[in-house]
Amino acid sequence: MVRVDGLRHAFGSRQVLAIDRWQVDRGEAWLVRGASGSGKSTLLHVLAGLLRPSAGRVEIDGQDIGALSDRQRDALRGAAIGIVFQNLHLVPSLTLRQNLSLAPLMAGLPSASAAIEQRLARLGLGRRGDDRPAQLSRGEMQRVALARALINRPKLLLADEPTASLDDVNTDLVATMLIEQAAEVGAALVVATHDARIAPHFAKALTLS
Amino acid sequence: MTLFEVGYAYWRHKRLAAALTVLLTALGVAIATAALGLAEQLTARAARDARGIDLVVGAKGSPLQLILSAVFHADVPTGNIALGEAETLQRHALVRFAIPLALGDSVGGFRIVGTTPDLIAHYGGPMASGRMFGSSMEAVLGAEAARKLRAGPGDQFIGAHGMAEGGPAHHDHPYEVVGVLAPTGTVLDRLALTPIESVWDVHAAHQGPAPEREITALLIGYRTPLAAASLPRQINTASRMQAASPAFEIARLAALMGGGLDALRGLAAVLLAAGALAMLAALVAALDERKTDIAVMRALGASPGRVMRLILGESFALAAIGAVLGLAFGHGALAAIAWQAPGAALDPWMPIAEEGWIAVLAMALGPAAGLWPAWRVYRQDVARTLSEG
Repeated sequence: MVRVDGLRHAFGSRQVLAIDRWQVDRGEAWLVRGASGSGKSTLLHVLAGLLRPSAGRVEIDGQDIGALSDRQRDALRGAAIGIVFQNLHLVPSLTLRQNLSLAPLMAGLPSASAAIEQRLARLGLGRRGDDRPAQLSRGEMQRVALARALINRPKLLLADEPTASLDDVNTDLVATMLIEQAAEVGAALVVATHDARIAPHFAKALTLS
Repeated sequence: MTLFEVGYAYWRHKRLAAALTVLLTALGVAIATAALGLAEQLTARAARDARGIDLVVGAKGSPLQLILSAVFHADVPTGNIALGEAETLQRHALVRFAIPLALGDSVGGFRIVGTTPDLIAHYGGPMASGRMFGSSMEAVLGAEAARKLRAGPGDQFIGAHGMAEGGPAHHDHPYEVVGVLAPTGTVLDRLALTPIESVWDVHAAHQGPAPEREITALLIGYRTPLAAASLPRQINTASRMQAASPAFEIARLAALMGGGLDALRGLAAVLLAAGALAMLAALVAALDERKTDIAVMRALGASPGRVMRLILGESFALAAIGAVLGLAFGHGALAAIAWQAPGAALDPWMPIAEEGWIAVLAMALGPAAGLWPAWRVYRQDVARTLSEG
């Protein structure tokens, strides 16, 4: 699903990411760990096609994203990649239902009303589709952000620091939910974190230095 | 969900900013609509009132005042002319018709005009009720005068000296209303018409019989267009009377008023530009607030073009709402003017020739104001915004 060869990325003269070889197969769940500034978020941005790597080759679902045009990378991201942001970034002016609808709309995919209702119900938010993000707790927002990332049934799910500012119980819940939900849609999962508490949930880990 | 719903949800969330932006655009469109509508309708009304009248002859003085008093009944006359001299002119070979007018009194702000049935026939005013006046102190009321005075056939009214309400009243000489005219959309609607003898009788009773009978003016139609070259000059040089051309004086008046109308048009243009700037400011502020939302949309797969379309669509929608509201406000302002000044005989809901262009300009200013914010969206560094947000 993900194949990385000789990846390097730099901001100006400062190199922030170096991975010689790394591969994530379909359905695998990986933890990417490292201290702050080790390039975890940069790696997720490169995998999402939001950053073009300075050097090396990154293949997502068999496509070399460095060789894709901007439009092709946008299309790949919309159709095949789901992202859960560290700050969740739900759109405050939209209801939960509309936040979930945003994913197919922006990816240019058919609307997925039935899937949205189903996913809201699965996450225990079936009656709250018309609420806005400001009416939710942090844990509820986390579930909506995950639902939005999964609504297009991506092949690759990326999560950036998903357990930041959560207590131990919720950290376990979120890690379990990420792995279960990714497995349910058949997506490979890559979670970037410096939170050692979720390490036991993952059999595979990449450590950045 | 559609892109429209995404934009609508945001601006509904930001109602105050949206309302202010729309209102500023609407204000510019409203002022432009009202100013141009007023100019268009006043010009059309002036043309209707002066239709078919080639020359106005009256006492020497200001030619514009003569036209304003004898054609539009909007000023005091320049004086009177001798009936004998007027009758000589009525028989002139170059004159096709000459309608005499005797002015001086009014009722409830509506001018009493001593004349002949030819004046009514000239404007094509059919009787709505009653009959044409026949003898002294009988009167036929124009449609608006009858409505405002709440008078009809069989009623009486008292004339007062001068144009304004409250002048010395001629209580011993009541007029009897014998007929009411149907609306004509001309100055006739706002007049009380009576035989010239009525005016003479009323004033003879107050001032004593005049040594020589007088009238105020003659409305003249030429027998041939060639008359325009010689008749006014003959009158102005070889008589005690003055001849003035309505067409010429209206053009002069329009030139005088033109500066004011241009100033109004300029003000409207400035307000439209201010509306566009307000929209630019609102969109830039909105974009700063939404840059994370927009980065999320990009991260969800939206191309920069799709997000640009969202911003441009929002600015167009705000401008379009402002334009439609502005047109409604503009016509509403005309309705208020028409209510305040019924003499202007405005039709506030009549479409204005230029309003389509005003609306198109206002709607175009919206996306124009949205171009720069949309370009900033296009250039946005999505990864950095998501990391910082």
